[in-house]
Amino acid sequence: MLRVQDLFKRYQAQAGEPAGGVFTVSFEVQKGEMFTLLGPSGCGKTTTLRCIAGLETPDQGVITLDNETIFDGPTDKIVPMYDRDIGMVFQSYAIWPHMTVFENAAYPLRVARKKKYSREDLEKRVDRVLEMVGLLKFKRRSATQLSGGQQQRLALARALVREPKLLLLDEPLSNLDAQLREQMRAELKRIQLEWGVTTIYVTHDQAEAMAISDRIAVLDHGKLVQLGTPDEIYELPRSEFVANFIGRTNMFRGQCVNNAEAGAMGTVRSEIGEVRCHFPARHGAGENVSFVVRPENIELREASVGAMGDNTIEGKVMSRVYLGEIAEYSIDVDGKFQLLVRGAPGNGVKAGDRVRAYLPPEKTIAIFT
Amino acid sequence: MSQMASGAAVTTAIEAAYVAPRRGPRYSIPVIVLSAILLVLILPPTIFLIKVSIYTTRPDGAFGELTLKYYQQLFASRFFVSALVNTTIYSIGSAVIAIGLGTMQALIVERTNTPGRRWVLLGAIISLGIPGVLYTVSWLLILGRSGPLNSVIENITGVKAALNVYSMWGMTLIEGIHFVPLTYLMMSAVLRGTDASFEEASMMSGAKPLRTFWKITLRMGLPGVMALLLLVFIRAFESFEVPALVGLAGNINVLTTNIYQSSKGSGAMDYGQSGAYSVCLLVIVAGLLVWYSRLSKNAHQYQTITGKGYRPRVMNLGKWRYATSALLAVIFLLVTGLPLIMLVFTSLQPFYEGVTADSFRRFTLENYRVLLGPGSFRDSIWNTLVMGASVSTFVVPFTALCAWLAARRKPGGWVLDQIATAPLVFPAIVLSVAFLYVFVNLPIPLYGTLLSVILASSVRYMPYGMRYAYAGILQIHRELEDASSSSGAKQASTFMRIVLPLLAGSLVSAWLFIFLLSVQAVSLPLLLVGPGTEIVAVTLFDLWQNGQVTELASMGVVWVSLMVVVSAIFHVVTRRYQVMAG
Repeated sequence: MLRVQDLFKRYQAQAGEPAGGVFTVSFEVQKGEMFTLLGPSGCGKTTTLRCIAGLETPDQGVITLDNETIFDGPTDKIVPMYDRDIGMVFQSYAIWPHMTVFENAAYPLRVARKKKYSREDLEKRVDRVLEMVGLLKFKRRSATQLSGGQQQRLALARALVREPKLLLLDEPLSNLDAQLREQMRAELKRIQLEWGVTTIYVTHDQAEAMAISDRIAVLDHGKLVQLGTPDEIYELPRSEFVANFIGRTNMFRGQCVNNAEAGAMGTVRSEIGEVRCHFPARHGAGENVSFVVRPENIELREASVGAMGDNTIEGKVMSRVYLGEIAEYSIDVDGKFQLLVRGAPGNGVKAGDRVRAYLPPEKTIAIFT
Repeated sequence: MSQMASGAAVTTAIEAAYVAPRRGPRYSIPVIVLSAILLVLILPPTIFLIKVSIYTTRPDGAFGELTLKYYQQLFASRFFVSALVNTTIYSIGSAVIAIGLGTMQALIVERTNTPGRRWVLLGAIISLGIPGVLYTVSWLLILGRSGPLNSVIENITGVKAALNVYSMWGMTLIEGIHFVPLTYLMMSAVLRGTDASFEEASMMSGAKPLRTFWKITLRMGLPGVMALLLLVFIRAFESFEVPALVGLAGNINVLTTNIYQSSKGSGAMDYGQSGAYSVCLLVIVAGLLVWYSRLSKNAHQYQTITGKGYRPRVMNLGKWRYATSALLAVIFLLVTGLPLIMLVFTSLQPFYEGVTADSFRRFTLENYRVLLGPGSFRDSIWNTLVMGASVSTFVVPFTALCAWLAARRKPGGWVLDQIATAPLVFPAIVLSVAFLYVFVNLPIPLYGTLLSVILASSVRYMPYGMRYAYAGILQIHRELEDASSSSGAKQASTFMRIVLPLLAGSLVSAWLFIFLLSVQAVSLPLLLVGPGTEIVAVTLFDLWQNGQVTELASMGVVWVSLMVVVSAIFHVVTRRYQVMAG
């Protein structure tokens, strides 16, 4: 559906040194998919989105939308943004204050050049899209009378009214308060499924990305560092950056003891001893690797019972934070490392206790350092 | 025991409820003192102005009986109606010219990739350093009877003096072009303040750039353009330099020149008539200003500076960008280049008789030699600098304090805001007339002194100081001051230690801006200065009346060079501290 190939765009700061951009990013988006570009601010996600929209001109690369090349670096072919048939929701919504709700939503049909809409047809289409976002009863109102959440819905209606091939959402929820954000998130997902529109969603909020996306592309410093479903990204991070950026994690460094094949188990000699890990990629013996384990995957046991098994370290519980359905423990290992563990609150472990933490090998993931 | 405690609690609650409505005093001592100073400055001229228009004046200067005859005479005279019509045509014409050129410039600079667009700012900086008198004079030299333009026309068509600049079109054109830098700067601010995503959203909806410009950019900018149109209209309405230098010579009277003539006519001064004229002009300008403040409130409703993710959108014009480049160059020549070149050329002539082949063989530095030697010119430069610096130094700290008390809603602070902004309704020439009455009637000999000009100018520029300081204070987050108070600082120390340092950028800008305006005004000091207290702008005005064109030009060149430096510093400071004054 959408193909982005070797997209390259470098911004120059005033002194001439590079000031961000994207550097050879490639990905493909399937028809009807909800695809998210995720990363911290300055990672290039908005730049990528604006290049797809046509609001920025890339330095190099090829962008193909529905078998039509809309940007071709080698031949300098650029389809201007107004000919791309892409709907976009801006971060600031950009609702025109001098028009009514209806006129805002009708604008893309009014300025359409390929097709002329009859008055009834136009009204029917606009009403339908306003109905979908729940603004039909406000259609005669001035756009300035809308609340933030309503402006957001109107921006979505405007982007969808001409049934574009692609919908771009640039941090659409970042200006809403927490409660409204969750509600709009569900609504966005519902509308996207209902219309089946291929969507690219840009956000820096990993929880939002996990909840809404079919697939996520994680960007860092202008490079695509991992692409996968939310489960894959969370369970099998491929780099320290991804592991730290998505959710909370424990991370240690060490060397491979022996050659490990992709998908096999292997042993890493590390700061906390020898640990059996799952290797998603191939690593050679002696190679530096890191491994990560999520706090909820660590099992806590009393220190006094039996001998120490494999993948087990002993430490002292420094603090226990009760969060309702779960409790969070901070465990100090020989005064050198901190281990974060999440577990059921009813297991009787208290601050000051000595405990053993078991790192299940299949949930302990070796990654590139 | 518990009953007693709850009884006490109830009493306290009642007391609290009773006391609550009068939190703190209704007024404070600084507010009273500042209001008193302002009233002492503003009330006497206002009262005198109204009184002379409704009382007869005896030969010794005392007031006679109450009368409406000055107003009756005024409304019955043909001159009043024709002056009103002339003023209106002239003001509309110059507003349209200024907005047209200024908006075009702003659009090209802010929204296209035209080469050389950054240089437009330089033109604006230079323009702010050219006094209105000098600007008008340069254009009169260019367009005048023996000026280069008429010579060119004569060479081509053989018609002598085809263009008569001493006419309505001449006035309108000169005044209109003079306002271009102002409209450019203000339109630029409007364009920059509008989030580019409004336009991007239109393009993403499938509208082409031209359509986006018509349906979004222009429609959203319209309130701003309308407000600016009215502002320039008001400024032209109360302007003096162009009507005095161009209109009077061409027998085209407007309201301001009528006031001037009846105040400084030959023989005895006609107090009653000039008073009645002044009051009429005052009422009209006040009405227009109320209208303007309504309009400009609407004008800013669409301005949403989101900051986040904001990037100005620049349109790629392709080959056409050289055409727009040429257009910018033409505007620059019109607004800044030609007047300056003409001025320098004239200053190098022993006598002026137009631009002829002979005149290029007569270049001399004699004018400068005379000028820079000892004499009245040095004195008038010194007088002017002292006057400008005094006005700024008084107005800026004074209005900073007033604006702070007003912006932070201290008890009675709004009164200060109202009084300090009030002089805005006085056109300069009216204020000049009003102060003239006051100084003539004062027992202390203030008339003709530099101090009289300083006092009058301080009142005139008070509203400008207010504007700068108010905008500056609104940029300072309220909690920065609250943090100072909760650290135990009293209001005075909060103002001195927190507000003033944070406001420094705005205040320096305001100081320089008011300095530039006050040293270049003609109409305000014109009726107030006397022998020995010459002001540069007034001297330039007098030199033109005396026909000493080459002396005038050389003096102008020196003065402009000085002022451009001040103007450049002003722009650097304003940009550095990102001062915003609407």
